[in-house]
Amino acid sequence: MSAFLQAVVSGLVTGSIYAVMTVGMTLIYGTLRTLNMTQGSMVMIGGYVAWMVFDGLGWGPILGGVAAAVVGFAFGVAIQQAAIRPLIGRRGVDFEMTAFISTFAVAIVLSNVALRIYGARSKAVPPVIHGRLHLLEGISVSWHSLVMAGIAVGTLLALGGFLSKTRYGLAISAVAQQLDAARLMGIPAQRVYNLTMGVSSALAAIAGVLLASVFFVSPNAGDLPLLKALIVAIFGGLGSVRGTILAAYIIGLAEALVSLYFGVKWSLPLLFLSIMIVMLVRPTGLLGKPEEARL
Amino acid sequence: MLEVRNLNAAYGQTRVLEGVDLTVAAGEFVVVIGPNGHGKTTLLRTISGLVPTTAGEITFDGERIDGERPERIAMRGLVHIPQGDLPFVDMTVEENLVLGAFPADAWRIRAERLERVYGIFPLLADRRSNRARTLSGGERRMLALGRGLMREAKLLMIDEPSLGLAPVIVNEVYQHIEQIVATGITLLLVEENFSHVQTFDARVLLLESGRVVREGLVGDLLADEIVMATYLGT
Amino acid sequence: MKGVAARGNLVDDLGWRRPNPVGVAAVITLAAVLPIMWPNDYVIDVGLTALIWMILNQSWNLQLGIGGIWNFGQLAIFAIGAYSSALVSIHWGVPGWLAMLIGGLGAALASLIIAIPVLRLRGIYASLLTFSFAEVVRLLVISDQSGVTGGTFGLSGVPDLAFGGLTPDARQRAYYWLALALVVATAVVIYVFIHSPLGASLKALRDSPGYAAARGVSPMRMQVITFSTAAFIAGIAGGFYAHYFGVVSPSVMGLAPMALFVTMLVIGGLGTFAGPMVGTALIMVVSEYLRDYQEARLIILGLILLVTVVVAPRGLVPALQDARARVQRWMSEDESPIDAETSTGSETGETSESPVSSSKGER
Repeated sequence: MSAFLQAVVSGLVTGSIYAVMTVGMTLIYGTLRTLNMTQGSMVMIGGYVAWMVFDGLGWGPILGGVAAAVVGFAFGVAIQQAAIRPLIGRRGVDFEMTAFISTFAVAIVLSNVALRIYGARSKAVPPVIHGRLHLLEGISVSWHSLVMAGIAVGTLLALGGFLSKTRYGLAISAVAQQLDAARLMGIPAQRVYNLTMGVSSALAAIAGVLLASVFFVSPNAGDLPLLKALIVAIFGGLGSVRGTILAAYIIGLAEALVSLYFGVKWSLPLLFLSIMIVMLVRPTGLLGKPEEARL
Repeated sequence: MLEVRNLNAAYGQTRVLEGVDLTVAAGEFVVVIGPNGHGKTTLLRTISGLVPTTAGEITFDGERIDGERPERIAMRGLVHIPQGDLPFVDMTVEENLVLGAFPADAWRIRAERLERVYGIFPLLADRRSNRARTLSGGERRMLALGRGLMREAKLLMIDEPSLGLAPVIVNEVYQHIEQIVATGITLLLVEENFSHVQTFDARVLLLESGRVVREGLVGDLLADEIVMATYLGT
Repeated sequence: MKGVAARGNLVDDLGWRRPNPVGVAAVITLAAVLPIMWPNDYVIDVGLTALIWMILNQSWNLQLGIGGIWNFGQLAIFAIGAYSSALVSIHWGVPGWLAMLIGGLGAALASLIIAIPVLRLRGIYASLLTFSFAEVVRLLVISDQSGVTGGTFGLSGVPDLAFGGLTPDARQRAYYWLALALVVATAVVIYVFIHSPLGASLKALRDSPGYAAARGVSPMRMQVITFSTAAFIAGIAGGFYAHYFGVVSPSVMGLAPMALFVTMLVIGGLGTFAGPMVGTALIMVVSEYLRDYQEARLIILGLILLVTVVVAPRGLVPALQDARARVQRWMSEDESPIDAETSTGSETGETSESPVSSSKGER
């Protein structure tokens, strides 16, 4: 029983980080109809920022998170301008697929540039606090994980506030739901696109900071997060922020439980298998919009 | 206020507007009528920038706006209330309205504007926390109008306010439009059913197959038997 | 409606313009004499690899250009072909030729698993489904500890195709010419496929589903046939790969190789005959040229993909074809301004800022 609860606790922590990592993907899909394949790269870049500010400046994860967010934002905007914007409105082109490929190309470039600059060996970022908090008999969670989860939840709340209360936050939802009406109200489409990509990439970079100490920092550190982000986003429903967050927790928990009962190596194949089933049975995911998936 | 000269627009190879000339002076009320699918909606969409022009000029408040992005044109004070309402379905009524005041100058006074719109449409005040998705057809129409009124428009364009609504609701909508007209705002209205606008003191353009075929005051058209036979009560 | 004339128009309209026969003959001849004119083992090996990829990429292109689907699972299917072919050869001593066929069939069968579900989903979802399929296959193989697939290390010791007692040089050339023959055979098969009523139906299905439905075209059957044909071709390529290299491992699947093939396809151009060949050749050349610069190689390849996709999203070959068509139109006298305006080239949009705009709705 306690092993079960331990898995639940660890699943919740992981779920929080997955949520931060993936919510950007759904935002981008909602506004730009693009499956952003650089989401994993941003996690990788966030990890490197965390390592650099820790190694060079002695900063902890909070400052590291801020730095990563800034860097991520800049990258996001640059990627939008270079890889997505030129494709918008092109005739005779399947935008979704082409943007998928162009962002995929950027991801390849980014991880190989990282390889060039930093080398293949992983960098280690030690946890910010050591030790564990003992909750109950046999159930404990490391302080570090708690802090990471706390930052994750805080970030999600901040994002929620931004999206529902601020001028540009609402504008993002508007553009996602009804582009023409939004533009008629003076909402600048390009600026919103840049903002969406910037914010989403910043979020992924923050996730990279959060993952940096559990999951080594290396040029390919973004591959697995990308796959997981795709799974979570589809499961939650592309375009739905709430669905994505819910899905993130469910999948975090599922992973922890599968690892517990079947072994770690089964979690990824099972995840993919389940996402295949989801796509067949309910492609819109948990809370996605019905208009999206069917032919 | 608005001057359209030799406007041409097309979808792919299909020409939709040909050589359309139109002016709306400040404070005027102009109505465009005509059968469905003959370009009335495209006319408004071209003016507001959603559809590109293939030829011609559009001048708003003294400046050329053809070729500009819709958001820029909107920021100049041109408010287009589109056909079909286009509400933000997953947002509440209040969020929808508030976004109507997106431009910085309107955003600052959005609380005021919101109260004003709630005053004109008490129904929206009642439903302010409901998601737009849950609104009925008539309520959506009110929402679209309310959203458009959140800004001070130099020119207000309304596309087919009676579309898809039951006659009782249409009357309500047109009562609100009367109120709007009474404020002296410059208004360009597109309507398929001439009977709804026959009581207004307006200039009318008849658009057929993308061309302006008749122009005159409401009274002139009422006196024209052919027009009446075709369009009254359609 | 107008029978043959209408169908002919549909097919030409596909974008798969008829290749120039003289050009094709010249290229094939050049390719055939390569091993003789440049008897360098390494060069021939690279050429051979390129030929194998050309077979694979053609199959991929078939699904894409006709089926309209980006099937990211094609690599997994290729691998399944390779593994099945290798396994029957190793364990049951099946002669190479038959083993390759079995590889093709195994791949075709595997493709049926995703053919039907993929059909029911729209563009990006269909692609993601195939992507997931590829990952599942890859992960299952990697974690296979039963020894059947050899897990991460793969299978080795796949026997040669029965060429008889040949010197190593001659053996290599035999493989090379066989590969070349397969590339040409694949192209012929695809050509026939497209110009058959089947191909016209598929094109109609892709571009105007309503019309196709009204004409009684069954989407399910069409897609399944396209899928399995393409898979069969990929499986044969896989079998060939296994027998030539003698080893198969999961490293042939995964993101990195997939990126390479996507680049080849996109560069070459989607939905044309020459596309896969041109793309594969170009990228192999660039890749070899950069062989000494390990890290820079992938950066440059990635950049090439990015720039091509952004500047000429349909690929080089279609872009060149469009350019040529536009020049021709410009040169011909009788031109009405309206017709010139609405060319079908990859023109940039006007005031549209909507990602999913006219390209979908227009048909």
